[in-house]
Amino acid sequence: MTQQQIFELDRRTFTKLAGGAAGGLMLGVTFGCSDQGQKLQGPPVTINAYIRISPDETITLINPAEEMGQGVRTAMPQILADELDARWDQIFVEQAPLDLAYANPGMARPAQRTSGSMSVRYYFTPLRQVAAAARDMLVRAAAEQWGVVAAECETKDGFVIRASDGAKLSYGTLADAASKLEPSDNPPLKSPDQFTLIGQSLKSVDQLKKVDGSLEFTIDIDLPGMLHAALAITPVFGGQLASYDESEALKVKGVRQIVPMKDAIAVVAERYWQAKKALDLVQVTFEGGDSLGLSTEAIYADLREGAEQEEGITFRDDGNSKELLQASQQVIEGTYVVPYLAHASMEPLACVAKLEGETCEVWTGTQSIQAAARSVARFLDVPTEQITIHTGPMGGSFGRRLGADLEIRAVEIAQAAGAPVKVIWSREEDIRHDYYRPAVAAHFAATLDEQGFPEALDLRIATYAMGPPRGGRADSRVVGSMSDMVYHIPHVRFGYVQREQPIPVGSWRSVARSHNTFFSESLIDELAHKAGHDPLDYRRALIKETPRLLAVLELVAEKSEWGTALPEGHGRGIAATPCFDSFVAHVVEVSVFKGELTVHKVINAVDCGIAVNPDIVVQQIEGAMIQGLYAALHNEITIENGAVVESNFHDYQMLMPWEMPEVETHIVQSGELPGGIGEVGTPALAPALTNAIYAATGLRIRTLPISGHELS
Amino acid sequence: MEFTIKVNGASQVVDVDPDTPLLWVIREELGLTGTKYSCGIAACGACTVHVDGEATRSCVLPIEFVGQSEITTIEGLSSDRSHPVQQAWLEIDVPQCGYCQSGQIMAAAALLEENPNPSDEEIKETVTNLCRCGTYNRVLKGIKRAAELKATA
Ligand code: FES
Ligand code: FES
Repeated sequence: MTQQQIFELDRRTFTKLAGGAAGGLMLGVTFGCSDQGQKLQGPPVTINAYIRISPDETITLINPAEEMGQGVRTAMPQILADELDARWDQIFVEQAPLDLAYANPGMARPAQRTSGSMSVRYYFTPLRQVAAAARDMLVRAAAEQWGVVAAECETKDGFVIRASDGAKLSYGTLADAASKLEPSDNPPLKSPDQFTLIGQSLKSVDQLKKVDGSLEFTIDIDLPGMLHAALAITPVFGGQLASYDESEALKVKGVRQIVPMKDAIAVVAERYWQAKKALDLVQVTFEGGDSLGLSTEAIYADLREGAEQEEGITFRDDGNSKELLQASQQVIEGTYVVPYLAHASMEPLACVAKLEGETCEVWTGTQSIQAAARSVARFLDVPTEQITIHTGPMGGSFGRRLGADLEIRAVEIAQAAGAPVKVIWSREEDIRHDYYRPAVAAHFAATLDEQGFPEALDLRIATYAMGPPRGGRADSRVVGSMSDMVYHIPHVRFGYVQREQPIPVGSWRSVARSHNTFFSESLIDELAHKAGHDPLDYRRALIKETPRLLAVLELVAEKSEWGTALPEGHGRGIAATPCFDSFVAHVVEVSVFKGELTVHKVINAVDCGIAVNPDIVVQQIEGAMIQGLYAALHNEITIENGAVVESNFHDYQMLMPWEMPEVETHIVQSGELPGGIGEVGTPALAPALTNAIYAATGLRIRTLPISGHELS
Repeated sequence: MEFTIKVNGASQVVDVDPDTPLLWVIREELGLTGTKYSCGIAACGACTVHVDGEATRSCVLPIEFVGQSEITTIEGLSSDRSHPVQQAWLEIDVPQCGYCQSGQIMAAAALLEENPNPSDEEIKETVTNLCRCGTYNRVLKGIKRAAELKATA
């Protein structure tokens, strides 16, 4: 097991932070039925950095993970409330302010970050530790009041109970005394059989506000005196604003000013619609740009050439695949290519900025509050302390809001306007100015042993990295999942060919696995068929050493009745992968008639260790799987003359409801510590799908999206 | 230009350019932000409201064509989340990020007014709202459940 769950918690985590905890945007909502907010009968008491208890018995979790639909505003308090022995209906959740006391323990360098399916995965034990510390303090406070020893007290449903006679003291009444005690070292944690909330499919937090439209996303924020901005950024990456004529735009009602920037232009108006309308009237020209003249054809050709002809940096080399492949007369080889992908969250990028003297406040949905604060501070050339970032729920993100490009834009425009400004990216700007999942080519060459199992494999991927090569090492955000490929192959070499290209790239749901799992799960399928083996049996034989992967594979096989006869024109495909300390497998059933593809059914199985909230696990697996599905079917960002061609949902499509297959999801209860869940459903879907198409048609899809292929 | 429109049962006077889409009038003039912008080209349904009971993508409907139609937004669907679609949504826990959900709910509610017992096929052809988080199957289940709740109400 690669998981690192033993953390040295910062001592500060257990203490009250000076001015920290109460400073953030108040997003407290109740769970259960009431949605009225806190009715305080006295000031809340801060027990430690994560927990506040009020005299009215409400308990607030300061939540270190940002919500973008993945359910952390539910799962995180569930963990905490369980270990604290609190009632679910007394728990509130509030987003953590900028403070490294909330840094994700999974980060190599401390940072508050919501990415890499790292929230439940890495906060599971620390949250339990802070809750256990708080519970212990409450117990000691009660024991002191009763004049008994702490061992004579137990806790349940928000009360400390005296064992001898069942007398009770509520957490609310004990909070003040408890907060004055020193936290003990390593108070014991519950054993899993004592969990009361962990493992329950509690309803998601904020659902009330999501069904009546009252949940406030960044795009909905309104401040007194706030102006609105519409934005046009140079279509060619790295281009610059050359000239503009604002005379017509200024005539539009409500328009206040035009803000020229180095590589963009914005219109500021009293209303967004006025700004957007006027923006179309600005006569603007951009010039130059690093991507000028570039097209996706050239990019694909370049990547193919890199993967097929260069060795690149070797990042795993077991055995001597090179010699074996050179000596073999029967090398099986092929090249795979996947396109750039946009994030295209349903909520387009939006950000609000307000500057006052030396201070700056920003309202944003971000996966990285630190990056936002630091970048804005750098941009304004002021200390980070002068920046306040208010975070709110995101209408999707999938890796898009990890940088700080939107915050800086908003600050730059607000600065020019001399008023608070909300900037909204039009859908077109959002799609054309993303940090794209990189286009990647992969070339494999393999030989089989006498039984038909892989003996040697050479796999090289060529792509545009998210940063320069660090000391000759391959970028883990691109190769990460390759080096831990679980198939038992005696001789393997993985190579990484890095190309330079000015198209901005970034993390997309499941990061490196979004492409590498497609390559590895496709090529294994190719080899199985080449050898005349059943693709399921082939995998079974090769992953014996990864029992948790084997278990999910067996489960989808069973549930899909793998191996039973299907109607003419139908086919089943299978794929599986470890992903962020979880294990996932899918069986997809498709049919192809007269070139028309129908995806009938998808069966998923996941082992994510302890499923904190099984219903959210199912939601996430299915949602991520569907994202993998429509990306594989339809999505490609193409470049023409240095600019992105696609612009909106008509040419960058999501799934239409009638394309939706029947879906079934099964959870394997391994009882291990929690793995990730938000991204786990994405990577293996594409290969399961193309493997199914192969089974139905004999056509091997080596480039995505599938819509680019004739399937007859 | 001044327009008097009827939104959620009340008359409202707004002063906007005639080409302003209903979406932006609702969001910016009336402050009803439950109706969302996502594509602006009638491709996603995030901006769905009822215009005289019909599910309408408000991002492409200029205010000058609204006239005296009765507009209903998510805020006016019920005052207490008691609409069967909202109830079913809570029961099935449909939303993920939630951003598309006002539009989904409005489209579903309009469908059920017209067709109290829609088949899966009818649902898929009528409620064509997009969801980047992939809640499609729960939307379907939610509409079926709402139909039941409505029938027994
Ligand atoms: S915003 Fe109106 S349909 Fe997408
Ligand atoms: S719930 Fe997120 S887009 Fe539908």
